[in-house]
Amino acid sequence: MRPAGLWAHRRLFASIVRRELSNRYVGSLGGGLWALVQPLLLLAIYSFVFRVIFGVRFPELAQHSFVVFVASVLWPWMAFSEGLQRGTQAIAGNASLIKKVAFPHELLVYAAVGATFVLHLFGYVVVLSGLALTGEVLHLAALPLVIAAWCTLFALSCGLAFVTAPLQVFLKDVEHILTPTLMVLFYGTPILYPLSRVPESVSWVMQLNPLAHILDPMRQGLLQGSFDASGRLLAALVGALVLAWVCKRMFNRLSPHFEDFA
Amino acid sequence: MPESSPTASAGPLIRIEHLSKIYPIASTPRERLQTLLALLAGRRPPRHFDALQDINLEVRRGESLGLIGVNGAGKSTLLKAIAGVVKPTSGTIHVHGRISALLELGAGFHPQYTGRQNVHLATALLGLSERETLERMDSILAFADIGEHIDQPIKHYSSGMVVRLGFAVATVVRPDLLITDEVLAVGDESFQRKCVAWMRRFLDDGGTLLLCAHSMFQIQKLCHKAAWIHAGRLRAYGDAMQVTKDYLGWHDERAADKRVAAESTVGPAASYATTRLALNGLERVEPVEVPMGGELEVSGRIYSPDGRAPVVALGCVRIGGAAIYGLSSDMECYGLAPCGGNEFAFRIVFGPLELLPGHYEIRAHAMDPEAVRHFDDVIRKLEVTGATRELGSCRMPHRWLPALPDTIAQPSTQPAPE
Repeated sequence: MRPAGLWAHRRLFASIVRRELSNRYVGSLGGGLWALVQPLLLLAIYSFVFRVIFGVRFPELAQHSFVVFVASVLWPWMAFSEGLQRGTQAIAGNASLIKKVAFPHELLVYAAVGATFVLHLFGYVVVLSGLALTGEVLHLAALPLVIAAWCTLFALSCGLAFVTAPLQVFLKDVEHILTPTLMVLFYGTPILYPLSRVPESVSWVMQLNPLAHILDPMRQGLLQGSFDASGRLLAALVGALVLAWVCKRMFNRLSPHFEDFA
Repeated sequence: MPESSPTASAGPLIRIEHLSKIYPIASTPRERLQTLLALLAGRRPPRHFDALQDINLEVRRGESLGLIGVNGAGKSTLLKAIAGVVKPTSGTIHVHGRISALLELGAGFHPQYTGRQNVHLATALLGLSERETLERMDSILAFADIGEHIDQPIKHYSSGMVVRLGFAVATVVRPDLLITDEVLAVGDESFQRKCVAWMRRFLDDGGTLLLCAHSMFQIQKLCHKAAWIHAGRLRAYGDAMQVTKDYLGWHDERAADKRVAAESTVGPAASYATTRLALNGLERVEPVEVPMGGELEVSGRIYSPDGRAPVVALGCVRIGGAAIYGLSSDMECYGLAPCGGNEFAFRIVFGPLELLPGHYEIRAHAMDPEAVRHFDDVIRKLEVTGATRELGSCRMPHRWLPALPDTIAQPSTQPAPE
């Protein structure tokens, strides 16, 4: 959809986003706070296992704690992977709407991914603020890098969802492939470890992972105030936008047939 | 948002040209994969069925259109295509003006949300702005009339309350064209009256309706034009009265055909049978046309298993089943002529035909020589053509006379006969 089209449907889009958000937590007392619990728990587990039990230390941490090292990229990762999973279900899960009402179907994908990003961005700000208050040094100058990284992740998440969401309508195998793939990708991405610790022999594999070029530059910026890797991030941003555009074309091709299959 | 679009006055509200829709058939995952690959490649799916084929239609402002046809004929698909829910496989649909589709009352309602929240979502789907929704909220609540339930989650509503709210939402969008799929009258008796009254007012205010219904009465009452969709094709289009009549006639005919098929299997195989039957020498499935006042020659052959001369009975029936006239060859001592192979021929001329223009059936029955049992029922269609303002099935001989003052007996002077 062209930006103009998105603008014309802004109220519908806002309604669908609101619906997405409240669907997840409607009827719960905690509401959106629950979105914080899972990544916080993960963070606690990783800290305990890697730092307390394995006693992991590496020079890249410098004056930073393992907690802030992981936290600085864990929330963006969560936004990307959960956004992709939600986006995959966005069409198949709204079949009743698609069969009865005429509206641009991509709104559903944008809304599912967007709502997830909003929740985790909120969690990210809360957690990083909390860590900063406990004395962790964060470089605010890296804010442009952080924004660029989130935008890249959003484009990547939407782009991939533009492929997986239609596929999910036709073939229910997609979600079963997606979950293990994301698990492998989580450990294959420098989240729990710095990119520089990856041995030469396998680092070329890491170079193929676009997430490495998004999360690592952002973390370097936030923790070390280093902009050395921002070129890679910029390349990833351009790449993600191109990917999203190509995937959107495939989505458009299948979009008229959702009503037949959903 | 404006109540009518700037281009509204020019041209038809909807113009459909060569509209076709193919639905892929894919039940197994393997077929779904093949279909997916075909669609991605821009090819037709390997297995498909034609839901709509080459539909051409126009809907003009104020000329409400009713869609009729048997279940599965493609009516709903056509409505959905006009509503934009179904994308045509080929052909175009031009829409000038604002359309609102009520394909399902309460579509998009979420059970966990309150009635009020659902109204906001539904109006967003219909394209209303936040401000317009708030302005019209009171009239929505008044129309739905569900009291304080409006702030309860929909899941606690009765199904009647959901449709009331759904219809109420629909009433606040004042479209140029309202598309509905048999949802005109919902809820209890008093709410149904409300719905019909609203629809009436909508039409009186110049609104146009696109209605899909099985009630011919509704179509005739609410629509000017009707389109008969049969097996995905437009079979008839025109004046609502005429098309609904033809459609009902077709149904009667079909019911009659089924009865005949059932009956003809009853008789034993080697029995008297009508082997040929022609109207004016034509032996065909399509109706034979005869002008009013013209002559109709019925000829045919009857097979006789034992070589004795059989009897033929002939009847004329109005489509729909009303008998008009019948006779058999033995009544007037007409003997069928042997023509070889145990077959016997007959020929009879009716005329000048006093039947009024319309569709009729000529039926022939083979009977045994004793004229006791009849063995089959062979039908040919007859269409009497012409124009007349007379009513009924056939002309009764009559004369008009100059009126005389004393021809009608006065009840006061002469008691009525017992």
